[in-house]
Amino acid sequence: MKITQLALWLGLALASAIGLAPAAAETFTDDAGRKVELELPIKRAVIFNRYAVEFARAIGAIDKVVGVDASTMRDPTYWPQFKDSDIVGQGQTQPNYEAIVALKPDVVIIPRNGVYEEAARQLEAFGIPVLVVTAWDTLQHVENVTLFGKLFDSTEKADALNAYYTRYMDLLAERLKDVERKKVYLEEVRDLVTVTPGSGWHDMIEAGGGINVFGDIDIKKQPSSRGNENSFTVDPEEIIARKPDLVIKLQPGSYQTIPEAKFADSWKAIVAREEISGAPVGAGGNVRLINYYLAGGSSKVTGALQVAKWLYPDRFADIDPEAAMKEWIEIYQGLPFQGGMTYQGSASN
Amino acid sequence: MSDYLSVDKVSFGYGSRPVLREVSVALSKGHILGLIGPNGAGKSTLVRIVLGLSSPSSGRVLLDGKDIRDLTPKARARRIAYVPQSSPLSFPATVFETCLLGRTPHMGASPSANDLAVVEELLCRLRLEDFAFRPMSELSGGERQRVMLARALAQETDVLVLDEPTSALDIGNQLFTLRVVSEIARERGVTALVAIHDLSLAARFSDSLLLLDKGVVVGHGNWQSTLTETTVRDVYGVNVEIGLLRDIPVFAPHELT
Amino acid sequence: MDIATTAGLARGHSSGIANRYRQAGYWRLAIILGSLLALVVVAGSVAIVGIAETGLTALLAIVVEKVSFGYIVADVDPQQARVLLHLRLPRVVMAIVAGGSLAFAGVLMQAITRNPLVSPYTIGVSSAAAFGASIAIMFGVGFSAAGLYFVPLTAFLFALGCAVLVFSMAWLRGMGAQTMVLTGIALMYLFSAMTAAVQFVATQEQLARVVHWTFGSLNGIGWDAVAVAGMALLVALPLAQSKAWQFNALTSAGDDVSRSLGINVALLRGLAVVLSVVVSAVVISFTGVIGFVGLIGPHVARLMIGSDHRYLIPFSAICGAMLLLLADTVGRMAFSPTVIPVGIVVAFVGVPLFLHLILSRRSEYFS
Repeated sequence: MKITQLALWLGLALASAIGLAPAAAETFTDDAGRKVELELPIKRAVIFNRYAVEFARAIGAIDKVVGVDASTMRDPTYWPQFKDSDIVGQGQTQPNYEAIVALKPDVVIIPRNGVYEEAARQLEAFGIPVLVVTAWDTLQHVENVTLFGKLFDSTEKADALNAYYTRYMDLLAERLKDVERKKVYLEEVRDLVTVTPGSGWHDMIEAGGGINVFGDIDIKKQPSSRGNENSFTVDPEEIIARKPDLVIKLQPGSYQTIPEAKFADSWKAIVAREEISGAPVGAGGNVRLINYYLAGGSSKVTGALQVAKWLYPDRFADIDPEAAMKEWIEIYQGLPFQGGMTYQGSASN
Repeated sequence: MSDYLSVDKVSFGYGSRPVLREVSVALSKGHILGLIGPNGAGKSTLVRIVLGLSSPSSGRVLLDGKDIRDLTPKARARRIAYVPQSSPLSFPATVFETCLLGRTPHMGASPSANDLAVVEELLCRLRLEDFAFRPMSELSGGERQRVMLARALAQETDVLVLDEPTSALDIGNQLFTLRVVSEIARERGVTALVAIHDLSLAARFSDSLLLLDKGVVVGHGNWQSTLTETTVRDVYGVNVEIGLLRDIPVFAPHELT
Repeated sequence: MDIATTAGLARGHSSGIANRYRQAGYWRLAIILGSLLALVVVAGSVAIVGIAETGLTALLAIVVEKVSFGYIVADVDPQQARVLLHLRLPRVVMAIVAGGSLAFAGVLMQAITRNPLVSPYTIGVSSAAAFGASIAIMFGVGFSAAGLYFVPLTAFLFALGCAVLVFSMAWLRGMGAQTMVLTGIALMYLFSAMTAAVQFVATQEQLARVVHWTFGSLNGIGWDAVAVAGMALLVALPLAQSKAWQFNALTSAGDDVSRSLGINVALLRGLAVVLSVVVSAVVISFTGVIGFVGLIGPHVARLMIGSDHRYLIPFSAICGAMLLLLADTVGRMAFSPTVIPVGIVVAFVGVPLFLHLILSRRSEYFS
């Protein structure tokens, strides 16, 4: 055992000495603070979390992704590149290690809310490194995309994606510089559930120039029964008291357009609620529905543009959020854009 | 004859209402003592104390001159066996298994051939061989009582303590149970303490009776001297006619006092 | 009834029932050995099914290599060998150890309470362990090396605390077995609710780890967990087995008669509580909550082999092991490559059985 190892090392040393080094090894410090040594470029990757797989597709590295989780694959039409046999577990908490091992990946990429310690332990014997990358963390967008570019030897495309993202983020910052910010109540798919600082949806509102009416909530000081930053339960009276200028309701959806009838039903339900229709915001018709899935494009920059356009139509008259969305879907994800991501019924209904 | 089992000034309970007060009784080898008295007289407590299940607050129980509390639990189990009123039925064992438990103080981790032979003989003797592999839950009350008696007899002790063994039985099973007890007592010289409600059976099968009332011994001796119309009226609050039918004592209650 | 004298039957009179009892014992022994063999065969067969191609010869070669401490070297494709050695075998062996431990704990708990509704799950031990784990994840030392064992340890302490609470309430206050079961179920809900409450304040990272705990899973089990849990069972099983006869007395004769048979009932109970809680808490602290195995294992075993604990204790463990092994294989293969946590699979069998037990024999357990 020892001797074979020694022989291997000697062979490697010799090979590198005469310039036959198989690949460049580089050490990364991942999102969990672990040091991971990887041989670049990555040719076969297993990726957990949809946002991360989207990044890989956006930088043209989807053919190097050999395995994804079932949660990512929830909408198969969105992922024509993958078949059921490419699934390596339900999500980041239940990886199927055998399936991973069978794919012989160079790296397994998993977000920090996954079981990365367990995965590292299980895959150690197979020499498969585990890298923690948290793609759902919108604040790390540029950092994450740059890292992906490096991993998959696609820095140009990564830069292009970052340019797309920063172009719109800069534009938003620029045009919103001296605006009198309006107040937004964002509601999750469930009624009377909103988001607070720490949530990507909160960041989307802020980036779009709005003020989250529940943005002052420090989730750590709240009773646990009210939920977390991603699902914070509110009292209807509180919504009225906080006087939002705009109500945005997230709609459960996928890459495919939500049918008009379904949007209409949701619309009827929300305008029937007293705290919406009875308040100035509802009476003034300032209620919007938005497809959950599409609003989250490219770290939610598309959603932020839409929020900005709704709040300050004059300043964003020349900006079409659907066009930005289309660009993300068609150029970066390589799929036809289906449109119809938002809905607004007639206020009198 | 020397006293084999003696209860020596046993009291139990504290305060103004002790359950037993200075109860003393001595039994020779092979003697059957009927323990009688109304509900709450302290019969069950005395039974538990003789078994070593409860400790008296004062006084002691002597077995062949030795305090039973000085015996190890296992040594005590080889000398004194217990027939309770009922048994749990949550996880019904078979009749044979139940009876074999009586061999516990004589065996190691598992029963020996001798243990099995003892049980086999007893089951036949108590006419339980046909039920040997039935679960206890499928037996009638009388059959169950016989199994519990068989278990106690399998212990091969020289003292047998029975807590109202006939209360839930029909008259046939009542007679059968007590007949076996008295025969074994005679055969093996087993001393028996039988707490019992039925005065007629108590009088018929006991060598002597101990009458308890409110924790105090109010009568001790043969049945004729212990159970008179006066004592029964005082202790039970019932007027009885006492007579003999073909030498069998009969107690006929006719009115509450 | 003929009430004539019963005396006069000679000692040594034989009706053949002693022989019949002896034969029943041999049969039970044969059932145990047969089921043990079946367990090995099933373990072997499920160990070679999975995503990667592995054969029986590869499995046998590896087992031989490991058992001979590397003296006989297995000639197996190294990738196959690693899959078997690091992914399949620890999982298969842990299914056996965990199932065996939970059913073993269940049979002891049932023996000392004389109630077939009692198990590590139904007296709240499992939920307490999960709550302990969540607390440790939420407020613990994080992701350091010490943290790796801090979570199971806290889970273990909570499980122990819950058991001590339930059992001491039952005995100090003189409650019956049924009260104990109800107390346990109340505690189970309390701990589940508290775990759920903890989840609300969890960050995304913590939440994933807490949820992972509330559904028992054998996914990602390593040899270290197998070693600790296996060791606990190997120590506890013979200890309990040596008291098997005393458990017989306690279940079928009751406390007073057991004491009159010379058994130290308090000591026996104490031993059973310690053994059952330690063994189940150790397992749960590695796998998360797996309910019902501790209930079904003893139940099935009792139906097949009777209530003599000399056979029932080992056979319950075998039944539990078989059950969890099959359940985990179903969870692993049914929707492959998606892995269903074994705790969920087991609940599908366990819940109907639990209801059946309560409804059909209610009078005996809740008298």
